Amino acid sequence: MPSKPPRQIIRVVLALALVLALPGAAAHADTLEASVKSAFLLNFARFADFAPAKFASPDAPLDICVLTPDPLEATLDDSLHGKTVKGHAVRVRRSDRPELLRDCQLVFIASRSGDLLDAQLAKLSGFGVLTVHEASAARGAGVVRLFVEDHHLRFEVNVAAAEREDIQMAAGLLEMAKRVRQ
Amino acid sequence: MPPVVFPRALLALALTLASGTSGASATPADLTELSLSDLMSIDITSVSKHLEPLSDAAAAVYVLTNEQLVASGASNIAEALRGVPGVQVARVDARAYAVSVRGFNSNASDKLEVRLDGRSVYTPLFSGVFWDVFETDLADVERIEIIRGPGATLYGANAVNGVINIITKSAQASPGGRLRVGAGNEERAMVAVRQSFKLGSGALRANALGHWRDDTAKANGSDMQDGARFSQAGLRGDWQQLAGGSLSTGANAYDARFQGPAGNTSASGQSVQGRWARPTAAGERSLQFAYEHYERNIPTIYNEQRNTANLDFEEQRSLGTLNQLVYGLGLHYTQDKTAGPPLAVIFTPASRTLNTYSAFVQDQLPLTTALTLTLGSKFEHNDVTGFEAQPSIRLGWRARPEAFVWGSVARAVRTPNRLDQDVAIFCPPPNGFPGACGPGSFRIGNPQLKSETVIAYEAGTRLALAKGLSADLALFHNDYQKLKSTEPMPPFGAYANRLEGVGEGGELALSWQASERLRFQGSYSLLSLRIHHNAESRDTTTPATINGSSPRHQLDASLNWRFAPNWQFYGDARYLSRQPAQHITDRADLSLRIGYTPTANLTIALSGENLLQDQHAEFGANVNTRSEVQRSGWLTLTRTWP
Repeated sequence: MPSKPPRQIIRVVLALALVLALPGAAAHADTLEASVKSAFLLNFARFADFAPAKFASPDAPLDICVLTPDPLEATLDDSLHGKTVKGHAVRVRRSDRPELLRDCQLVFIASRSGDLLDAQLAKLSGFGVLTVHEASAARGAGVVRLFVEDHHLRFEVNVAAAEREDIQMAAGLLEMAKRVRQ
Repeated sequence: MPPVVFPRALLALALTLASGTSGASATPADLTELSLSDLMSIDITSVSKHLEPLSDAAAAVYVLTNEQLVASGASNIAEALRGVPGVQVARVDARAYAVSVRGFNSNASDKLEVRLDGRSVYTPLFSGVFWDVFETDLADVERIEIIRGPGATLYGANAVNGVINIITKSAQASPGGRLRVGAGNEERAMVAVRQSFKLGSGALRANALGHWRDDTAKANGSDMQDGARFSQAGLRGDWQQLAGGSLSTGANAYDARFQGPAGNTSASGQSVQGRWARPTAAGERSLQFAYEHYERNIPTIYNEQRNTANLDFEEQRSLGTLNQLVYGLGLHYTQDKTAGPPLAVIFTPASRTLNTYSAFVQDQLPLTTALTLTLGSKFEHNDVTGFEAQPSIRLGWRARPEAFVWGSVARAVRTPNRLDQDVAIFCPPPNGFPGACGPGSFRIGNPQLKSETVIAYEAGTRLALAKGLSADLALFHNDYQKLKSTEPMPPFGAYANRLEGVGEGGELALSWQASERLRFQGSYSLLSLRIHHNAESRDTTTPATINGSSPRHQLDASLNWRFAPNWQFYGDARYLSRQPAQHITDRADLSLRIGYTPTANLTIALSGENLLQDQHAEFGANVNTRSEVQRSGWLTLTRTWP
């Protein structure tokens, strides 16, 4: 018969868990960048017209998804809690598999490795998903690229990719964006 | 152009800063109501401390990236695994390695699953890897994932103590050509070449490599005469858009000659594999096929030919809105032919076919936004022990944005292999091996052997401590039952399932990206194995060998530093505590590499390994006849072209 898991392991993990959950414990995470990015994601969803087939019903939720690892973490959930876009309740989902995020309206991908990112974007392309990535240059299959310029967040829209995904970007958004066609 | 800062944005910024910069309890101001232009005006970097994303895997995982593999200049896969927390690597002689995870190290380690692009590379002969013929050009490896602890729910029998997944780059991700040549005192000569081509909507990559390794030495300094020559060629083709899915294919062939006391050992093998994946509305379906043939001949000792084929179906799908379900079916076929007497190591019957059918299901279910439960099991049917269930339950908790805590309980089995069941020693007439046996053949294998089992309790945490600094701690307690014993029975012994016991310990890994050019990594691994024989057994040797063959303490510290433009330094220092069963005292070791890239397409690198001693033993209980590894240095030139 297997013996019980040793008490020491349980004790160490419980102690760690308690320390971590204590409010005010030393932490260095800065939520501002994540808050601003979360707000950008919601704005992108607001300024986009998705293909009607992306919603099962008029009151179906709008899924803003993150392909993990997720740098926005709880900030995204907090920022988008209770928000709506054109009557659709906004919901946050996460997965480490792009295949499982194809039904999302928007997918945020944080990975910066070009090879990995291209593979992830390829798995999402053709499903009407507004992909948002942070690569150092435009990617053929990515719709929106977020980037930092002079300490500020900027974005560019790949108009050709948006057309391929059947997503109409509102003029108000395009005015603020750097536009590329790839 | 200086950005125009809107008052609202300023207010929002002030609110955010005042509300505290950390903690799930902090409520940042609602930036989502700001306009895009307001958002674009917020200075994000002045107060931002970018934290490295933590993995959300509820298991002990370590990843070697392509950057690390290239920077370290490791000469082969086994060498690259040195310094990975919880992994034991020991060089047995000029060609062979003993590699294990969380103990039980031996040159026939049998509790580890190793995969190359999804194809299992362990041999059903002894459920281990022939590390001497397992190579791939590390410069084209995207990453190596090392999972400590059972991975049987997804990977099946033999993933008892760990899984090593080697993932090569896709053909598209490794465009152009590359030639690397090298020479040194021990690594006598090495050459590796790659060329990629566009092919239709995809790409094809061809790789070839070869090396010639010098003899190791005996303790008295004389040559062991075990030099190794190895050559290999491979193809990888990838097509992203093919009949509504993506296709990834590979083919590989190797040939090796190893010097030995009774003549040259020869080994050769060929494999092909393919994976076709097709997106579905809710996920992905994939079909994977692999086939391998190999032959190995050690004059006067043993000869084996083997064919192995696998067919696996897998589907990933979202179930409802939250559950992520993965399930699959698999067939595994292996057939061998061994030569009988007068070779010394024989198998009865001489030829055998074994089939395994398997199914697995795993569901990942978020209980809250921070808490995720993963439940699953593999069900296998094999020709030897029948049905085996290998379930696991894992819980992952993102306690804070910078902290992830996980725990798991899993069961895994190691099913009896060909060696376990059928091996015998032939002692030739008229006198056998004088002083040892004979004449006659003596069976050691036991066809009635049952599966070895483990129930593993694990827990761990990953913490982002500060900018660029992260820590990963994992603790484990493994309960082993029915481990293979060798019951004393003249002249050799017979296998039985009469060992049991506990393996305990933990690994702590730290990683610090001090600047864009400087990275430190350190780890400490603790391993305590307390294996003993049960009341029916008289085997006192095997438990002592198991308990004393893996170091109790392992420390590793490495530094990767681009100290000047075009210059890169890599250093790796290690400490291993003693391995009493191998008569090896505690020791330290050092590897260094300096790389210079004068132009974008040329790199010159000087590498040194085993630098602290003239020679030292890493494995082998006989101190007079075993191999000792010598100090080694080599120079490589790498040329790339588009």
